[in-house]
Amino acid sequence: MTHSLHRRGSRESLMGDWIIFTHGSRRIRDRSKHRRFMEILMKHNPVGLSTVTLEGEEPRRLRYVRGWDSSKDSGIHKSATLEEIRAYKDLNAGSAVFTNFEDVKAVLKELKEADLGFSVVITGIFEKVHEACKEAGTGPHTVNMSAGTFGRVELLPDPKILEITTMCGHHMISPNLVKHLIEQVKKGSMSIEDAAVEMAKQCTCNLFNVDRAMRLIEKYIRDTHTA
Amino acid sequence: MIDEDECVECGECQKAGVCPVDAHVRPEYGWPRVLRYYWSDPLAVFPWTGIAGRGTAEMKTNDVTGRFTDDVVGIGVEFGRPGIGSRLSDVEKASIRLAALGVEFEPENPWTHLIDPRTGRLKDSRVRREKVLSCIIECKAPKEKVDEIYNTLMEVAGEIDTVFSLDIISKCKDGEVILKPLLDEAGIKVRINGKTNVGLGRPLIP
Repeated sequence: MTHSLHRRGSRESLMGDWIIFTHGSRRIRDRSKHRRFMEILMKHNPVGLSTVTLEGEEPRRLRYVRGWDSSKDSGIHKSATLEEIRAYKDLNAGSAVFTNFEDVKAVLKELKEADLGFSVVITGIFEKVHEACKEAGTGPHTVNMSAGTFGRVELLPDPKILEITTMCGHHMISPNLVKHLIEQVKKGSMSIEDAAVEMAKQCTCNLFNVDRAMRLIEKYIRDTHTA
Repeated sequence: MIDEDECVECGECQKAGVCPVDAHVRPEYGWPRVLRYYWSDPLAVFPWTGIAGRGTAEMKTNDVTGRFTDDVVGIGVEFGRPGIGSRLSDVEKASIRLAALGVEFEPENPWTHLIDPRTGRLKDSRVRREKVLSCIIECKAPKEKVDEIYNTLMEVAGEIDTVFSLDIISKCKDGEVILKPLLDEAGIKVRINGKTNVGLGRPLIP
């Protein structure tokens, strides 16, 4: 699973795109450590967050995306607010999306101090992540790098659209849906935030950065208007 | 109309709940069509690995598992990504070439379960026509082979009817990426962003 790799964009744009997540957390059975992990992520202004609660009869996935409320739910895509997530006593260690590098540094520092034992991965600009590691007194331990895309690259959509769609690594967000939603924004029948939330909903892993998407939509409209 | 030959069975149309008459239904998948669902729907779990998603934990838990050591390069070849999809016959082309280079295929990866790892060939030829949203070959090799592997994959890129995205995994030492000098020497460029395991994992914590 490499679903947060291959995100595209300029350095400036990627400075607003960070993901922190854990994997293989099932080996840690102390549920209080899981909840503590999520408390730290929730404390530092995530724009997206994903976890599972074991409260109730069946495990329930909880997805927070800034700007997504229950009035925009559809199909299997159900929203949760941070307040709702905080109300659960049991939360599984999961993932969160951040837009501010200072928040990423703060999360890493707290995770290091908490010493919960989870394997933690940060996706973003290597140089900055490694700077944060140094400040926190940890790794980097191992990296997964993107060497690019090869083959029949002429089949790929417009690079500006790809900057948006590659924020869902499984590519559950169709380029045609993105174009359609941008058209709705252009026509004035949808807000930029609602368009970004509609895109984010399709990313079931919840690693889509709704804040960055809004800025990319805005830029796309501005650039195509100028052209 | 859904073109059944092109449909990768990701289920996104149904999951989105946008059809006013609820016309999207999942069919009963037989073999080998069920492979489309396993590789295209992130919520599907591969029955023979018990893992959801297309691949494994790769470097995400390397601080605990030690799967990638200082002298090893990890490779992920993600066929069909981003968003184009791939016939498994195209994946096999790379798989055969990588096997010839003597790479070690990741035993827990779903693709490895379909092939003879000595040859990289599919064990069941019926699956070649199946189209999936994305299928990852995961393997590792001595780090000195990174140049040879990369050049071989560039040859494969000219023989396929889709795209692949290439992942290169390296351990770090004293804050530096161990593989970087070899990548620079070979002229292999990587993006400025990617995934970093920050080394907070502790083995055997209850």
